[in-house]
Amino acid sequence: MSIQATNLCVTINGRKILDDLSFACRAGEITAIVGENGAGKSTLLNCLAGVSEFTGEITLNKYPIESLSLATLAKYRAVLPQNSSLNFPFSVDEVVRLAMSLGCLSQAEQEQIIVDSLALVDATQFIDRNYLHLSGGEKQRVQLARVLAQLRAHDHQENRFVFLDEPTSALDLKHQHSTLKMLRELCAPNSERGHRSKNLGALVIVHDLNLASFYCDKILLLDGGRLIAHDTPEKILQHHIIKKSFGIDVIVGSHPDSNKPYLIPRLQ
Amino acid sequence: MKISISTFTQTGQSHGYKRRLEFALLSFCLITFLWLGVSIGASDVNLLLPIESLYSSLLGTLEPSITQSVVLNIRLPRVIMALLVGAALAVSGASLQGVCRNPLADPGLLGISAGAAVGAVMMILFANHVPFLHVAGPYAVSVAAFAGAAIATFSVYSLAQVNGDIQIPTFLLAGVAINALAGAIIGGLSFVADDQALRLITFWMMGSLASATWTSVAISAPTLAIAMFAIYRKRHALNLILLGEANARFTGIDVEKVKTQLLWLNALSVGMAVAFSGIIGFIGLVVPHILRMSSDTNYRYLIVNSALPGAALLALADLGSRMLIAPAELPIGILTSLIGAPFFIGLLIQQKRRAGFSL
Repeated sequence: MSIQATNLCVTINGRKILDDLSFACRAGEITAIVGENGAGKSTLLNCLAGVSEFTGEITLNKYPIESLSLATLAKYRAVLPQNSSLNFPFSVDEVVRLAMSLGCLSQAEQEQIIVDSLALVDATQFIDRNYLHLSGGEKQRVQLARVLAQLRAHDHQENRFVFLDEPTSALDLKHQHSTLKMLRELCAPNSERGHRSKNLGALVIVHDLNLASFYCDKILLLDGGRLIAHDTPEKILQHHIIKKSFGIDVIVGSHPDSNKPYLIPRLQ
Repeated sequence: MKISISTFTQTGQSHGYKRRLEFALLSFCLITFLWLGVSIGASDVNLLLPIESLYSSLLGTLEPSITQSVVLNIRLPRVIMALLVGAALAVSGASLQGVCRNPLADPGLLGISAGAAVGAVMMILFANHVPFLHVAGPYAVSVAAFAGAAIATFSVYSLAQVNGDIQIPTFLLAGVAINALAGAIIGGLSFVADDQALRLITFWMMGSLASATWTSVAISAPTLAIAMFAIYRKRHALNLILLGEANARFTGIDVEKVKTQLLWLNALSVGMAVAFSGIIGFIGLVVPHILRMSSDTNYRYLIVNSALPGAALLALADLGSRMLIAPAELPIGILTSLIGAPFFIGLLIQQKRRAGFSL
């Protein structure tokens, strides 16, 4: 079961944002979407999430995405957009609870999910705080917890996806790694964590290619709206590919702990 | 880092306790103001009057005195109308703030009340020349006020929308524009109106509950109750819209549909409120604001929590409007603005000091 795009195109104001993309991502896999600013990453994510106009075909578990209602989609995929603006003084637990307000879970079940989701993003200590008083990175973690709570609320469904648009952009080094590690554990088919997931797939937009390398199964490289490559980190994180897409010289090394490739930019 | 469920539910319970206390307190205020509103009048003050009047009318044996019939036929419908309109305006303000994701939204500031007043005034002037409409009286006026409110609501909303998002400055300016346009139309109409119509127009511009009758209560009560209940049913969607329209969509809300429904419901509540009480400002702005500062911003509670103090506040304001310069009456819209505007400025200053609550 998978999310699959065939000949996906998006044109806005006569400009091609996405140009003939075809690929498939399976549940149980974590895929990093990488590319320069303006390469079409967020547009792609919005199309896959079923809220953006496109031509071509996108299927979620074999159903055409445009045939699914927003309420049905909400059961099969959760999305963290790049910016979540909330100008009203909610407490952190209320923000997470909002993810479940359309469902029919009992109060106790909801509270359990809130506690678990906040624990996954290391935000349990904020549970009673006013959301508006949190720092940028703390807000980002709480929003991620909300998205995870939405997934958890529909835990009985199988083959679901989570789309995250730069979930680590405001996070410190520790939380960048802990967040992606947590995500990896959620997606791994034989997850032993409390957050039982029945085949969860993740598509994550990240700018840090090393994070993509260490924690993702596949990398989807976009350049100017076109799909350059969709393959394992080892295949994509090579000097000539990075040079061509990002225009920067890098040294490619191999991480001593996992043999995953890592990149260091050249200074001259 | 584990937190036990018991600490969690304890805080939940203390919130619940606080909420129940607030509810009890507000209900007490509501009943007190209702009682006072019926007991106190320009001619007399008698706290036992409501009981006496009810007693005589229920048993039907005693001939009701003039005061007692004043209580039953003038003061009681008036106070009930105050409660209804106050609740409707507060609920309407609270829901508009959600739709626009902006705590500054208010039916008065956005020109919805003014739009309703234009509809009502046009109908009054027009009805004088058409016998059938004259008979239809309050019904025709409320329909016209609703139409005016709906036109104003959707004009402001479509003007303020830029790429599917509400831009705050455009949105406030759209409200200013609609208010100015409505003012001009009403000004023009009052120029051609005769003396009697002019008095009515003045009434609409300043707000008053003096003309409330059992008929107007019978028309507005079911409509407002249905509108408020329908808005209450959208509480979860309103919460999710606060997270941003993209997030609401991702969570399963058809944002455009919900917003359109809420805008119609708002036009209905405000149209009905204005048709029978004129333009009463600031209730829809101040009531949800106080609630957000003191307790809950969550729409699960905010809609009901707004209705009670909204009703109580307008009942109190009506009492003030009758008593402050008795035997004359101060228009209630002037009173709410006199209290509401400085209060709102105070809130703004307080929020500027307290960082984090961005407008």
